[in-house]
Amino acid sequence: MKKGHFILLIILFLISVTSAIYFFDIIDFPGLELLPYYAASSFLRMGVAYFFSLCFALVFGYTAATNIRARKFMLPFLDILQSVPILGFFPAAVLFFIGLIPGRPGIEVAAVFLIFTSMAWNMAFGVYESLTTIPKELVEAADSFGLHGWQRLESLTLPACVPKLVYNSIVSWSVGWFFLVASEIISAGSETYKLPGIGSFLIDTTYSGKIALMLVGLSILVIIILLLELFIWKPMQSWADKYSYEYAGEKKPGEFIFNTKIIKFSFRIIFESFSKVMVALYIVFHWHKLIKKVSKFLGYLVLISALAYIVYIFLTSVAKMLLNLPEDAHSIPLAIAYSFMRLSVAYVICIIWTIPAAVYIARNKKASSYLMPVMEVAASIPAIALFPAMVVIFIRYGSLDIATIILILLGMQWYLLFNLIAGVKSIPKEVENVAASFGIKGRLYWKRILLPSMFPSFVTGSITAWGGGWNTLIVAEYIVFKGQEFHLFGIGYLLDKATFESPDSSMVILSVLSMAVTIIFLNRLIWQPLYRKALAKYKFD
Amino acid sequence: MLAEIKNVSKTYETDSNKISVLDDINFSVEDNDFICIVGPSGCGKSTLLRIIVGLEKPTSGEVFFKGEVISSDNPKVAMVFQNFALFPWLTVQENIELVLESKKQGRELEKTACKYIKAVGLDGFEKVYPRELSGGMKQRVGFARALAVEPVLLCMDEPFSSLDALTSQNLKDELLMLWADANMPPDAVIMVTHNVEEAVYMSNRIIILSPRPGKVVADLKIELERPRNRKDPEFYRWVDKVYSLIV
Repeated sequence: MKKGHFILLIILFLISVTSAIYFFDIIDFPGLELLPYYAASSFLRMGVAYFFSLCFALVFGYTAATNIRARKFMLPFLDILQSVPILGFFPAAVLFFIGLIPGRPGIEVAAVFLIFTSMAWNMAFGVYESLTTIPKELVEAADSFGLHGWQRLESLTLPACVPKLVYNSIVSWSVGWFFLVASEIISAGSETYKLPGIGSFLIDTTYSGKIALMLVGLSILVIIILLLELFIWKPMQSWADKYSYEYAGEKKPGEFIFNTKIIKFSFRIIFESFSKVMVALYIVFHWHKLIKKVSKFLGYLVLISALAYIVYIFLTSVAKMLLNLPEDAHSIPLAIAYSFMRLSVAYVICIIWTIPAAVYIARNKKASSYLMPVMEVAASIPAIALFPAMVVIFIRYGSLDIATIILILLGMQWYLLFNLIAGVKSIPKEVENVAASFGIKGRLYWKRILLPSMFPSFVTGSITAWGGGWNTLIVAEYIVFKGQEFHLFGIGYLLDKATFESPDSSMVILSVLSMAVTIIFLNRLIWQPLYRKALAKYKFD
Repeated sequence: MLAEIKNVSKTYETDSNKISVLDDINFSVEDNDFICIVGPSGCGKSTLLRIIVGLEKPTSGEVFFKGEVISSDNPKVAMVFQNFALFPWLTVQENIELVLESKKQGRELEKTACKYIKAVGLDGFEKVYPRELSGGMKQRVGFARALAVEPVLLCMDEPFSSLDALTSQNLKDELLMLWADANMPPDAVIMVTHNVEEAVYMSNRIIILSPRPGKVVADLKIELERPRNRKDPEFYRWVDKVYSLIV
């Protein structure tokens, strides 16, 4: 059975269960007929956020790759944005946008903005990496045959971005779903804002204890995600293969249950019209030196004023905080330590199960053809959406601690697992052959060959896993169920408490900042040196 | 005189020290020259070629093409690359049409492209993507692309060294046939190679560079009848002579 069949089977199963509940009115719930509308609105929010992320990624990545001076502050800036727990900044962003645009449009913009912040950075890095790793000879060919300006953009720059951009788009969407669920119900200060959507439906139904309905919503969400996977992302990946440099070009095994020619053709049309638009914009901006100068000036103006604004907000709130230190402030270090311990426990569990699982899945073709789709489906469910259900179970039968750790695990483990599988699969055949022909087996094989060659993907996986973990933490340490509040002491709890329970904006900023500082500190101290070592010593090329 | 390389030197600066790669290179390129630049590895052959084409700037000295300082935009100079440098997302024909378009030879794109695809023996492969071609066929596209802009000077950077021996021998002979055809561009060729036999087989002039920093050690005219015979003792005298000058 092909992987596509399996996914389709899961989709059919979910659709039938959902529609059974839906049409036969098994559950009487006012507003159930609005579910399709909820799903459509949520999807639209994702689409709009994705579009803006794409534009941002292209402009940002292109500028960082071509302008060496700008790069020096753009890359560290992006790095920090990427490692900061976005969810924590969200209440502040909502207040800002509602102040700017009153009413529902303001909340919509805020929600799209949150999703945007979860999608954009990794795509921007993708564009930057694509443009800086174009093979040298190809750049020289473009130079020596006089490909400049818009022609270069159309024939070299944009196509070169395609493979990484497609891959990172898929990652961005799956992260985006997580933030969608978080963004549709927003409490800022004493107000709670709600948007119609699948995310708010999920949270509403759980908090009011209607678990069956929550499951209907969840399966609709999963159906949407799976349909996208099957009809958009898989064909898009195979279309994007055309744009990769691997001349040797092994054809990837077809994963499809249907002919994707039409879908691929439409990607081509979309991509070509998109690049025509970019070319037109490029020509307009470079039509006259004056326009170029003015647009450059405006770009710097926007950038500098945005930076100045951020610095201003930052300094004033820090000043405010220092003058009037929130009473909870002294407990922040301890809270971070508690949260860090929870993350570490989850991380250790991750390592213990994902390493053998990855080796098994990558090595065993038959198992992987069944397990991979199941894993992908499981991974596609935003961890946030599962939390309420787990709390219900664990409040009755266990402790919140276990529920929290499981949730963090859910937010971490997939990154590690999928990275490790890719790592095992990328071990060159020659290395395997050497091991086999010299009889390297068992412990020696694991110690000298398997583990070292998994190390680079282990480090990359760990970095993303910890990023996911910190974000999950914010929703995992505090929950309201049936009007009752449960919490665990930790930085996530402090943050949520200052946001929801007893609104205190300086406490929000203080806890987010200390969390960000911790993350950046850990990145610089542990992950980046490890990553450099992994690249220098253990990478096959 | 087609081109003139005048007092060209190149130094690279690293954090701690300066590395001199090329030191005062002088020679001129005439009509009908098929020049091979040979030298030990690391002597700056490829750098020199890139300077001649205008892809890199010399630290001092100048390269003149028909009396003017060279720039990489010059449509009369074309380049063939060691690893082919084809655009993987364009078909064979599109790869060639792209450079025709950019070199402002927009008229009769398709006709010109097809003419040169045929000339290198790739007719029937117009709509194929580079990844589906073998190494030798890819380099044929590289030649077709360079010839299609109808250059006066063709520069080649080790064009045969990523091909297997048999393929490269066939390709060399075909290239020499195109070179002998008076209706075909270019008027002169500069080829970088580390293969002395290949240089003696193909060129009528060999420029030998010294180890780094590269200097012109010798500028030999190869006076052998074409087509050349590798088994000819005379051929081997030339090969030995070049070898003795390299070391």
